[in-house]
Amino acid sequence: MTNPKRWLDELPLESHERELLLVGKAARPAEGTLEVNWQALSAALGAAAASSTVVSGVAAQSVSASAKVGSSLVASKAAGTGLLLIAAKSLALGVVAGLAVMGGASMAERAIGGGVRAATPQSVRNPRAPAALPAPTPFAAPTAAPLAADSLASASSPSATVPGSSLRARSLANGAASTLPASRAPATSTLSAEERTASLSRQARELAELKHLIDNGATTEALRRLDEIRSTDAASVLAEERDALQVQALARAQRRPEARAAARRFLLRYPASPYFETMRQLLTEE
Amino acid sequence: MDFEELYRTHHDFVWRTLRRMGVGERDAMDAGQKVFLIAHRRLSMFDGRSTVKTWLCGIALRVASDYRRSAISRREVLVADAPCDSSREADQLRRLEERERLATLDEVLSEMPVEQRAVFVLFELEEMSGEEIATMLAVPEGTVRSRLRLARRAFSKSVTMRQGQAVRIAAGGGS
Repeated sequence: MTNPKRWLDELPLESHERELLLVGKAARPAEGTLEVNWQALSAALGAAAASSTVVSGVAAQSVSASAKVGSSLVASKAAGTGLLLIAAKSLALGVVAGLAVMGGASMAERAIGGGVRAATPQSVRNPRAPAALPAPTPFAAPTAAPLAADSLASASSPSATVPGSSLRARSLANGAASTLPASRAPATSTLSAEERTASLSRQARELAELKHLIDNGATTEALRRLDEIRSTDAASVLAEERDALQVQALARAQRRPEARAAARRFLLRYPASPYFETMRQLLTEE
Repeated sequence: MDFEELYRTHHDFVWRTLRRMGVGERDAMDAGQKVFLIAHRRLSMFDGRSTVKTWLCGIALRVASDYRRSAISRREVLVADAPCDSSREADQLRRLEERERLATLDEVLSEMPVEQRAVFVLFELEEMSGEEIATMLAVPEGTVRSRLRLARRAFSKSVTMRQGQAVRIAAGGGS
């Protein structure tokens, strides 16, 4: 077929059709979307995704590429919901790590006072809390290969469900969930592996978006969205990280009494949290 | 090209295709992620007979189709983009105008049959060739051409009708 000319090349300059086409061509996602999505995607795929190789178009490459891709497929599949939960938690910890950086005496200055000076995390006096918030760790690459690549291929249709029947994947998912307090167990236990993966991925991305908003001073919007998320997704497995972000947002908004009240509620609700000491210090700081 | 490079290269294209094919603003991020998750799973099946962009586009069209049918899209609530802290009024006004135009574009596109819409979006907005589109949709190139012709006609008709309505409203004639 001889390609017809693009309409834009033929339309009168002042035409409304042209105006609409131009705005459609120039449309881009909101700033920061690419990075936020990549973080969430990495969480979903596991570290192997980043190093997988795309077949570049030559059939002969498919053998070697399949080997590379196959390993990442297996890895990402083996990650399953369980490791994804860990990955999402790791991502979330990274997302809210800024809260830890606000720790100790510097927290009042930086969070309540709104300063931006860099600070190092304080030593942790609470034996239940780690010495410092863990940095966002690389997502664990599973060692087992519970699923064959061909079983993944069957999920190629967008509407198809990922074959989540792997006992290994299920046990990982159950194991991860069982480490959570009962109050934080996923309310979505009846969801399929793919649905849980999507849900966790979405929640991790929401946290990353919220962190982005808070970092950019859009605390009102962040708090509004936190309220919205809480009302619709109260039993989220990332509720702890979400609630930590709320404290961070309130502190950043210089709503000190509310930040302290939220920190108090946080301590009562999550006594074993890695953020315990930071929250406690927020309450003791003037 | 590693997967991250593929993602970064085609992220905006995938997002735009999803949006213009009817995926709501709130759902576009989820849908985009789904596209890349599927792409990651299917890498081993990509045989290079099409470009990566065309291949991703095929996935995006199917994901958009799923989303149009899903309850998620019915729950769509149009809200402003999250990072909206611009303090400059002119910039805000420009963004508002762009959003209004995009909303109009999406309304016009939504009135088209989905087959015509896909051809129109890919040819006119994403500048894919007729051959690429035909391969992706598994239709003859002549079909692509005829769908494009019909889509342009529908597009013009809808835009003209909207202009007429706007003029009547501006003149105080109501609807």
